[in-house]
Amino acid sequence: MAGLETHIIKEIRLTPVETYFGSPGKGRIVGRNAKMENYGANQREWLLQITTDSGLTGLSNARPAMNKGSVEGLCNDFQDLIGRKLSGFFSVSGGRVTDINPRWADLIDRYGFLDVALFDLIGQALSQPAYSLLGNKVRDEVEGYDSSLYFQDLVNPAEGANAVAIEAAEAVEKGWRAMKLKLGRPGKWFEPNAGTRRDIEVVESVRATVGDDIKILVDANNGYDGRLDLLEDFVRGISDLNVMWMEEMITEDIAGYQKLNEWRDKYTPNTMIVDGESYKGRNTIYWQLMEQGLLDAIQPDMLDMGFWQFHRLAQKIENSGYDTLIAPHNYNAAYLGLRADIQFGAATQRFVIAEDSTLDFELYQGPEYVFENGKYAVPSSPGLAVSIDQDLYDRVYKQHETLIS
Amino acid sequence: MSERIESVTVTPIPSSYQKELGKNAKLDNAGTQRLEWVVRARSTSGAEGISIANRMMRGDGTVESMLAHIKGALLGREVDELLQVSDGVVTGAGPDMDRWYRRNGWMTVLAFDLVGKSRGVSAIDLLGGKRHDSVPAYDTTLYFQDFLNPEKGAQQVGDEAAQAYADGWRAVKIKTGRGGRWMLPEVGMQRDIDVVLSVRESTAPDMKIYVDANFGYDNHLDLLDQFIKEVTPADIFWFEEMITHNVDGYKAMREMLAKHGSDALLTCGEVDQDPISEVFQDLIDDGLIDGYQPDIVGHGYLGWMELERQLKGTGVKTIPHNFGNGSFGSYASIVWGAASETYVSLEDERVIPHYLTPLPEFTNGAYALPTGPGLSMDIDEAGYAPHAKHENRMEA
Repeated sequence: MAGLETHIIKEIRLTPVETYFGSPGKGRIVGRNAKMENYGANQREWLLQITTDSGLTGLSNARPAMNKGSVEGLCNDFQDLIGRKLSGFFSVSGGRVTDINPRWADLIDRYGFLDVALFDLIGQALSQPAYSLLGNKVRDEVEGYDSSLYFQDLVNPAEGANAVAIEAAEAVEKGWRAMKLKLGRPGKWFEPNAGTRRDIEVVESVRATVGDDIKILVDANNGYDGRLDLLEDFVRGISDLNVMWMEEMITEDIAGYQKLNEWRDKYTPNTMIVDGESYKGRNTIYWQLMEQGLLDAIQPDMLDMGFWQFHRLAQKIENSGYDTLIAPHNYNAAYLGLRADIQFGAATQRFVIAEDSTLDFELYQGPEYVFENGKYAVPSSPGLAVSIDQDLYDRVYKQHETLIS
Repeated sequence: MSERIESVTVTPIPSSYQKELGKNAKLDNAGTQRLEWVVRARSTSGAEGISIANRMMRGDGTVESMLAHIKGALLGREVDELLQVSDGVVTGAGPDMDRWYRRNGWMTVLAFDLVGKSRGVSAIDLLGGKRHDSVPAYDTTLYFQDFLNPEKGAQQVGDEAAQAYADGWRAVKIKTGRGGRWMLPEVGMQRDIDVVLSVRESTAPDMKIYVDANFGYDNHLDLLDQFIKEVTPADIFWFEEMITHNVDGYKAMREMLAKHGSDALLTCGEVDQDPISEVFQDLIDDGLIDGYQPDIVGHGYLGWMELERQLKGTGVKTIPHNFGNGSFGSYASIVWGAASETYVSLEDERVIPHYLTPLPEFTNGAYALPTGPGLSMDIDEAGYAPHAKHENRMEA
């Protein structure tokens, strides 16, 4: 603990960092999901750099705040961090974070990504990997799934369902062994019956293309709301396609989930039912779903939660005796979110798989996260084990930096 | 012999910009592609009216609800019931059609197209006849491109403006208001200034420059005052949505323009969902705005005809918003612009053409007037064919 007291936060930098699915002008357009317009050809992180007077820099991605807020608002909220000792945020004992300082609990609750940078700093200060601040390592590598297979049939209409399969094959070629298909076409963009047929056709087409060894996950973004009849048709339609999980097929409610579980058990019993990216604490329907055994995995967002809240959630589930697993949502461009996800998964027994937007950023350097056969190696270097290319930063990105000091 | 609508199709068709469009003051990147919900209504004579129903898909809109509405409004309807026409000029909605057109102005554009094609007359004539020999247009794609190419910063926008000039454009709109969300207010104002000056320095003196802040200077009138002061030497033609519409704020802006010697227009109104709503009427009555901008397709031709009647004598020009209307919006805007007495300039997204017959000739920053019946455009069936598998078809 004494070690942390000697590190004082001196500066915070907030910088937008752009990247593309592929390369600028030549890359992919990631299409719609059940409710939203195109995800786009490029994405961005809001790189958060917290630097101490001792020369350490912790990294995170402030995009969850910037999805709604402003640079000015974030600066106002983070100004109070300047001059604070690194020892002041969490209780650390025996190389483990054991509690949060109530003084900072509200801020870290609101900005979960902040604690990713703090864990990065604490890990560096104590010469420990970030995961080890939570517990012992339970796995040496963490599997990731390609999460960029949206409604590509509307991006490339001439190919229809095959448009998704084409990009699924490319994902396999690049090394992924698991992929998530966005479904829920009845929800908005298709006539409901036609949308259900297309959803099934997409899963069939991808399975036929990638073969039996690739994990296929599906996510409807609640696109079957109000159409349980069509949802049953869908679950029946994928009965022999070995789907690993069904995510957000409908908005969470007990009766609907009871029906979904019933159909899952009947048609595709090995498929998990997952949900919960909007999780906001214990007094939510997600706990009721877990209590009733209707949810196989819960999915709060990695950067919304941060390490500490997620760790506490895992402990609460453990203590409750529920079987629910954890599969963090991670879709805010999320190079850094994925690295946090991997660190969290390294120390969390009930972790399932990491959501991977597949985006790479030329600015970041994380060579220990070796990606092979669909899995990322867990680094052994201190903190998050990610640095930035300082020359590139100074040349390209610094002029867009907002400095809090 | 009566002529009725015997089939209607609705087809989502992606349209691509010529580049990635970045942020504006409030929204994250606009991206590279939009979806146009193309509606084709075919009559028993073989005439086809075309429009886009994009606005029905906003928010909670679904294909299911859109199809139900379109079916009720159009399928089986007599073409002559769509519009009231007197002496070759449209005077209003056909019987029973007001309730269908309400908040669906796009459908009136389709009606003008179909009625025009059915009668063999131009929609320009149905609107009252041409008032201009060409329709000026502006390139509206200069978003926060500096974020997309951070190494070049403000010059990136200047370079894209220079390319627009080389491509024949003689007017561009620059998105500003960086301090509204994506930068600290003062830093964002300085970048806004750098961008505007860069565009002026990168283009010729005959390039008109419009500035649009998407309300990015809300609560920062001091910074807006400084911005106007610094960019006035760049000869700004209009300032659009610099702040949210309110009488006191616009009075202050008028004083800023006078103080700094700017003769730029003040424009706003694209967000007016029920034009002319009270605050905009106040701005018009008090002489505080010079241009009014509800959407051309969203508000539709009947809506804009009524607006022009209401604006007559006020000195306020018609400058319909058109962003998001894709390929189709340019055709709809050209026709309206040709017939509107106080029309200023067409907002052009410069969408890569692909499913409609070619636009009229574009020279020296303006479109020639179309001469064919209706909107003078048709579906290019070869371009449409790849999208046909997503067609939703309804037949009477």
